[in-house]
Amino acid sequence: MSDVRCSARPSDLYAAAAETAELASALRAALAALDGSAELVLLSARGFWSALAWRDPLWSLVDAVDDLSLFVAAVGRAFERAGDGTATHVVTTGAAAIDGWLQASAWLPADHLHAAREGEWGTAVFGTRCASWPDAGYLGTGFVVGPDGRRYPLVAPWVTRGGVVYQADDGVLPGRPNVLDLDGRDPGWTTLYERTGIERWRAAPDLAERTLIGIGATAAGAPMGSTEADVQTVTIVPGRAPVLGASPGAGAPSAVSPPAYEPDRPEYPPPNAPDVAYPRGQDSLVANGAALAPLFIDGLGGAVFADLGSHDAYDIAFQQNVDGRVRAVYRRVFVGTDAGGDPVLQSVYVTGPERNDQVAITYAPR
Amino acid sequence: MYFHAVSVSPLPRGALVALGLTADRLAVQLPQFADWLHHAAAVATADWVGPHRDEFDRRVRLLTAALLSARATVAAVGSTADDLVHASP
Repeated sequence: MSDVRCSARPSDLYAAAAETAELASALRAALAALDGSAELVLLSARGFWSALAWRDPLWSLVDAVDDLSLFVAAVGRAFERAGDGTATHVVTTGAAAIDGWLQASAWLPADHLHAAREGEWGTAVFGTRCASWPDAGYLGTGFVVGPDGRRYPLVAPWVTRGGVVYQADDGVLPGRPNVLDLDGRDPGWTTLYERTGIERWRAAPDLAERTLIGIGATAAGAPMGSTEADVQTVTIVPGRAPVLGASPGAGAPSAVSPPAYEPDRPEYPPPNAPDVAYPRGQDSLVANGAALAPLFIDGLGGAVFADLGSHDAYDIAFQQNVDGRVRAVYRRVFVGTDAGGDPVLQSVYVTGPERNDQVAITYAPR
Repeated sequence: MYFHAVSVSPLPRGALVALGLTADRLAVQLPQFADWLHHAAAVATADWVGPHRDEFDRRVRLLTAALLSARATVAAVGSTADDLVHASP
């Protein structure tokens, strides 16, 4: 395959990916309707537990359509990158280059979570220091293996300000207190590499999970439920609370902020390169989020979120301290609905490989 | 596939009617979904050449077959539900 020439117009692939995602959404809605009817029959005839055990064999179709949409979008992105950002013109290149870009973009944090061995997490987070604070700290249980192959402990920072516990700042100006460094108690962090995107965090929920979600149990994860009309775009700005829509609104970059981070192209060398290296030296994106250009999860992301249940937007930052420690701050954003049915975004830190290894985020206001 | 063991208990007529209607509607929709998929594929493949296109075509073929195959399953569900409705007192 390495010598094969190939070509495509990225914008065509994006359009097809969006259309396929809409198809997945429509198919999901149709199957949900069938499920609802089938479950009602089972519930009436065989009882609650029989209905709870019901699994529709057709749901694999939805996953397959979803996967096709993601595949086409990923190939489109690969062609766009191979064509130096050209989306509207036909890009011609070697298949090996497209494969490299596909592999580079295939890394998803949810696929690389690991539990910690006894004492491993604390040692990785705090080093040899005996650090403890009554009003701040880190929560976590596991590790994520980054695209560079290193193990990073997953941390969920928290601080108490005025009697209120916060897990993140909704924007931080340079020199101001920052939850991520525990308001100065644990300074010296620099972001090595940061990535945002969408990911599937679980298979489509079965009735048992949907029932648990419905009664508010936490075992099934954060509740979600937007429709496509609710969600067109989710914008994740590192260091800021996520927003629905294409602008972070009140969080417009400050005039005193440092320049926006623009990763080199490629963000990191494609896999199988012997010396994988991240762009280094920029300030912490997470800490200086107010300074950054918004990273949009648009188009395909909105459509994927619209049919809910299995996807989230994520933002993961791999950081290194001046004392050599490393860590990962992995944020997931779910689309849910409030009591009035309006879409809301819910953020959690992922702290380990298990579904309940999550810490809900309360953002400190600017 | 769906209700082979359900008939051991009396079935609620209203729920069966609803199931039959839903299944019939989905049976009509599935070929439309297959057409929709082909339209999306046509958008993608206008200028797409290479092994990734081949993989895409393969997936589209499989999905099309699966959608059309599912239609028979869903139609059978609708038919079974209709039969049970008519058989109920």
